[in-house]
Amino acid sequence: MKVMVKGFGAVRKYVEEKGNNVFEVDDLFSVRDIIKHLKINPDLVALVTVNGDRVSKDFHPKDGDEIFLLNMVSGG
Amino acid sequence: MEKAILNKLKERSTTVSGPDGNPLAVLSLSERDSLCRYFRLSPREVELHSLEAGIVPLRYLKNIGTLSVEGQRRLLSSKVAVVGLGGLGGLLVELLARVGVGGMLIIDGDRFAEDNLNRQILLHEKGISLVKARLAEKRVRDINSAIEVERWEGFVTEKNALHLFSSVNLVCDALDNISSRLLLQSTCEQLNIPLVHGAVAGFSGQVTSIFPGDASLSIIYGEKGIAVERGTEVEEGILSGAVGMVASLQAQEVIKILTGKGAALQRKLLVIDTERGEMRYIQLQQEEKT
Repeated sequence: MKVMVKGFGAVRKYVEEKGNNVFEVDDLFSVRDIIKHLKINPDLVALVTVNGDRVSKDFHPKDGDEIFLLNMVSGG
Repeated sequence: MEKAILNKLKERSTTVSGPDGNPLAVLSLSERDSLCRYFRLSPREVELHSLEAGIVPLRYLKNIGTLSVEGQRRLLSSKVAVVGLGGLGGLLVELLARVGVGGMLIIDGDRFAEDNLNRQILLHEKGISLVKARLAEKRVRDINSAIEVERWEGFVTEKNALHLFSSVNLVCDALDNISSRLLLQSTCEQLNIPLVHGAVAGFSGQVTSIFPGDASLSIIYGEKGIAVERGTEVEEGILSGAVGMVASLQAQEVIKILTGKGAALQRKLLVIDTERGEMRYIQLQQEEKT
C-alpha cells in the first residue's frame, strides 16, 4: 500500500531525506513499523494522527492514508 | 470601596474617547502614584479600586476594547506563576506584565549563559552569569509597578511544588524538560488550577491549556518514567521567532482563561511549523484509535 507521511521539524527531515512524502509499505505494517522502516527514532515521535485522528503507534493504516508524526518538542 | 477613595479617583481622573466612541474616565500613572501616597495604598490596590469604579488606568486603555473593564479587573486581581525564565518564560513575564496580570510568581534556579543570547529576551551581553529570576523580577517591575512579583531562585520539586503554587490562580509551563513539566501537571491537578503549556524546537512549537482532569501532557509525552527527558530541540536548537510565537500564544491563553474571554485550547494541541508555514490542531480528548 501507499501512505503519505508528514511531520514537523526533525521528523520531517527524516521523511524528506527519502525524496518525497509518499511511501510504498507492506500492507500489514503498523505506524510503528513505518516509523522503523523510515529509520526515525521512535522516541522523538510524540503523537501520531492518521487522516487527522490521533492514533496509537500500533494502528494499521490503509492505502492512501495520511500519517502525521508530531516531533517530541520540549524546549523552553 | 471607601467613599473618600472613590471621590479622589473621580477628581483625579480625566476623560478620553473610549473604544466604543463614548467618553471613558481614565487615571494616569502620575495620578495613580499620587493616590498611592495619599491613601497609603499599593499601586495595584489603587488600580483595582479605579477599575471597580469604572475608571481605567490609562496604561490599559488599549486593552479595554477587547478585554472590557471587568476583564482588566480580573487580570489585575489574578496571580500567575511562570515556571522557567528562559526563552518562553522571559517573554511571558514581559507580556503578562504589560497586559496587567496583577500578581506574578516567577521561578527559575538558573543563571544566564552565553548561548541563551540567541532567544532569551531578558538577557543582554552584560547579563551573562546573572540569576534569571532576578533579571525577570527587575523587568516586570520596570514595565509595570502595579504588579506584585515574587521570585523563587530555585527549581520546582516534588517537595516544594504544592506549597509554591498554593496561592496562584494559574501556572505557565515554560520549562525545558519533560519530567518537570509532568510534575507541574500533577501539582496543578491537585490544586485544581489550570496549566498553560508551551514548548519549542527549531522552527516549530506547540501550545495547549490543561485543566484539572485533562492530563494532556501525559497524552503528549507519555506517563512519567517512560518519557524521554528532552525532545528534538537537542538536535534542532531553538530559534528566537519560535520562542516569540509560542510565548505569545501562551500569554493569550492566560488572558482568555483569567478573563473568561474566547475559548482556551483545552484538550487541543496547537502545533506550528514555521519552516513551511503549517499548523495543525491535534485533538487530545478522544481515545486514540488502535
